[in-house]
Amino acid sequence: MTRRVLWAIPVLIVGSFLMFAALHMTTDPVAAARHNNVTPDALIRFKHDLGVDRPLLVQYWTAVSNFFRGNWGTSFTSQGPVWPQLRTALANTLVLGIVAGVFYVTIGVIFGMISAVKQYSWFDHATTGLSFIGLSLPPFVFGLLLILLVGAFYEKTFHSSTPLLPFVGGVYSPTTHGFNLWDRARHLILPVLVLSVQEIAIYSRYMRTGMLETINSDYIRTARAKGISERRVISHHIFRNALIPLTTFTAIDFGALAGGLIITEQIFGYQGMGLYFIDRYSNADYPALIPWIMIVIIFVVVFNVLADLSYAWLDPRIRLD
Amino acid sequence: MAIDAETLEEQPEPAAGDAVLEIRNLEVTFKTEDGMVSAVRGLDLDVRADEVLGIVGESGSGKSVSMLAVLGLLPPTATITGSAKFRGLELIGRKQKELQPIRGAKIAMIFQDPLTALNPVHRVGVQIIEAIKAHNPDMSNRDAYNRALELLELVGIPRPRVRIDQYPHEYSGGMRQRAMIAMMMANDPDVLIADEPTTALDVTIQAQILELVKNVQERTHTAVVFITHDLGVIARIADRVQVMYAGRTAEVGDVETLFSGSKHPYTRGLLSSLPALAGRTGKLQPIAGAPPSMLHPPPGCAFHPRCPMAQVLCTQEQPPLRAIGAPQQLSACHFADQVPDTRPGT
Amino acid sequence: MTDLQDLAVTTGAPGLPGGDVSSSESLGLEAKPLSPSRLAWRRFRRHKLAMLSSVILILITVLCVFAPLFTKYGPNQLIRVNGVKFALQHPQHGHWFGTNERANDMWSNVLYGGRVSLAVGITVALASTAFGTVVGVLAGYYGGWLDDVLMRITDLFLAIPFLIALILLTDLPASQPWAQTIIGPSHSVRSIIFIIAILFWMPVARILRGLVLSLKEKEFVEAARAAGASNARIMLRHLVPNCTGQIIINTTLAVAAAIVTEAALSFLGKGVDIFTPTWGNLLGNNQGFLESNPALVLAPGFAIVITVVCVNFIGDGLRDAFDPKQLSV
Repeated sequence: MTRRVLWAIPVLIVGSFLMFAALHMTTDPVAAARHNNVTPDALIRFKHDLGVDRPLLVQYWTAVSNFFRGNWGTSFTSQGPVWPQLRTALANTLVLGIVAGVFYVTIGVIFGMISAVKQYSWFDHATTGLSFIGLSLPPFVFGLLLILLVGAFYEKTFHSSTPLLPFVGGVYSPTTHGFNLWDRARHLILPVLVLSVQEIAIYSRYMRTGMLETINSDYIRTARAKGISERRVISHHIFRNALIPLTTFTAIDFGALAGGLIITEQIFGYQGMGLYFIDRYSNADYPALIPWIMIVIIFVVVFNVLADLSYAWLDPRIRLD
Repeated sequence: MAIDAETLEEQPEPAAGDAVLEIRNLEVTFKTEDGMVSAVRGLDLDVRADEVLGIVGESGSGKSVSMLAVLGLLPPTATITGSAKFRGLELIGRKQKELQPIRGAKIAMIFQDPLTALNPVHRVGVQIIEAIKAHNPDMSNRDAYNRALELLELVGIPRPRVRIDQYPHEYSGGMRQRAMIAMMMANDPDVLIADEPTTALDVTIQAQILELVKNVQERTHTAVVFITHDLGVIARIADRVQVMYAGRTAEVGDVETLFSGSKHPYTRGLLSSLPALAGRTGKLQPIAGAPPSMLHPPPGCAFHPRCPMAQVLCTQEQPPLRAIGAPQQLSACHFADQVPDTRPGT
Repeated sequence: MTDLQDLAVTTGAPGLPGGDVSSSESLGLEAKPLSPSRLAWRRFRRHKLAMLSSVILILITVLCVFAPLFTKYGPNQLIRVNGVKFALQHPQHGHWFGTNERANDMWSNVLYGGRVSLAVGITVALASTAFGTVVGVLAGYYGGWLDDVLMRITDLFLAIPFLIALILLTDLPASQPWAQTIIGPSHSVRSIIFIIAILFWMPVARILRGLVLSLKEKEFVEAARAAGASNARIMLRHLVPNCTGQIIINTTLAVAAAIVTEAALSFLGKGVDIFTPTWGNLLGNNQGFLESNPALVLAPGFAIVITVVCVNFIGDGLRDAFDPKQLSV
């Protein structure tokens, strides 16, 4: 177990280096300067100032040490400090991800539980059938369908001049200034739904399988043979044991959050980490992108460690040493 | 009549020799993809107070299924008909909730594989206390804890104060089965069903567990139903034996009677395939053929395709269980009186 | 050991199965033997939705592969009516899904787009499953440092954000000549297949490793080894055939996932170049006309969803058919 936790460090280093290298290979920060017909001398000086003329490993080392010292530099795109914009993007993504996550994990787990406890009931059949459709609905298709529904379809049917729910403009309506919970929440509904449809399907199926595996195990028969109430059998034995793999699964899922909502953000123009990356990437904005890469990989790695730890904590057969 | 604590108390205390559990014409059918599988096909069985009843049979003969059916522990794919009365109280057709005061308190059951039969994520002590408190909801935690310690001591687990807080994976196989017995004896049940409790264990440990079950039985006078496919085990522990074949009873009798004067060719076959007994005649004769498919059981006597004595009648008519030979002996064979006499020397 | 114990060991069935009692095989009561593949086919046939899905999927495949038989227009063919560009038309006779802004027929675009999407899906699934199988079998069979190294690499690939890695890789051939030699020009179908496959093999590797770990302790492997079979022979003739069920299931599900991934990349403008129709491209290119000409978006959208639903149901049918729990008679 300790080995698995320690393994996080090389994954962090190699993973971030690979992304750093790929970024360098696919983008050219002096492209704009090149187009402006700068003299070769000026170009060399420009490259030197940026530090992109040094070996890749040296650049990576400088970038990482600057990141950890909090020395994040100035964005090429905005000409301002990196952190405020990155913080906004991260906060937006986390709000969306956590609201959606709580929503879909709760619904998925409840549906999966009922399905398993009432196996082969109409509810189980319906959930299973719907989950297959949910699994097969990519967010970009479902998102466009939703937009059509709350937009054109709603406006035509109810002779309204505004859509039922906002789907452009990202986090707030353009008319909103400062914090406005109502407006914020309305802008979250569609992205949360788009993120949730597949995840509810995944979680309910995962939970159902886990519960069924547990339900059919010998120790559940033992628990029943002891004469304890069915409620207690479900809560203390079936649910408790089925929760172990689910917790791990959820932790890993949340780890992928920081870098993973690109499609949804793209559909709704939601200013999160995904759009942040795509915007800066097209400008080869290294100072803005390096902290992004580090934060995203740290998220993944930390939540993987948490997944392992929670596994050991929930299952006494696994020991930390 | 609904089952609650009161009606249970009203039941008369069983005297030795009275039947505590009476099973009549029990049938268990599983709905499967391939059709209906009859696992138990009209079983009659009596468990008497303060006795050890051995049930012998091959895999799929319905011995475990019938006991699980009595306790309502079969999956919903099973259809159960017939009757099973515990001290006069019908158990078949009860809701799960109605069976809870019976399970663990009046009829308890231990299982084959002690590794998978204990919940790996709860401490052994917690699992025993759970069994105690299920039937004594008002007992304080401290008392329940002490009772659990007492039980662990009873089943011979050393250093119970340490062991009580350990998890099942920290126990050895034999210890787990001991803990299982402790858990199921927690409420002094009238019947303890032991479903092949030694099969998954090493031979030396098997002997210890057998000894323990015998010991516990003698101390508590609980009736024990010991399910096994091993006649050697039966010889060591049982007072009476019921031999099952293809979901029905083949033969019933006292253990001595069956070993020396069996009136059923199947029991005979089992005996002559037992090395310790066959050794005396020098021949080890396994029963020819394989156990029947319960999807399409053979017509007539289910044993006829493998029976050396089979006649035309056996392929047509199911033989009834009837008294023959020694007192208390019953055999379901058309030609029970023609089963050759006991081998010399046994 | 008595005869009875022998029987109990060979049938492997205790008095009552701990788990699924819904199959007579698991009860140990089924007498007549059937070959595993016949058994699997029998179970698959019983899965009605999987059978229906197979029929629909075959239909879709035929429509796409033989597209010229079902449409008279090429995907990029400019349609003029009375000399006027026939652009952004609603669905009508002759143009079932309408026409797009470049005055191309949408029905023919969906059919031709399906060719690319299905090809990407199937190729990626085959390539990634093959690679994942090799990694998983090697890691599981040899264990030790090789297992460590291979599994750590797998972990690493799983730690990198999937879509971002795809986006970076799609741009790689444009700026790096060596990458272009290996995987083809940026945004070519070949490069997209390559790139998705590179990021698709990890789950298969993990599953296969787990399977091989448990299989290699089985008697038949011991027996093969005792008979002097080489490592390569044991892996190819004994281990891989015993994983066929899992391999087939994973390939199937990977087809669906790869089709969706290609579409997602195209949706982000990072997929196959926009003049080659794929379902993802059609969806991405036309999303601006969602409210005015919904058919342009709905047609490729439903093509993706229907295909993926079918593939997923078939995967479920295959899982039922090959479920190792039901096979352990």
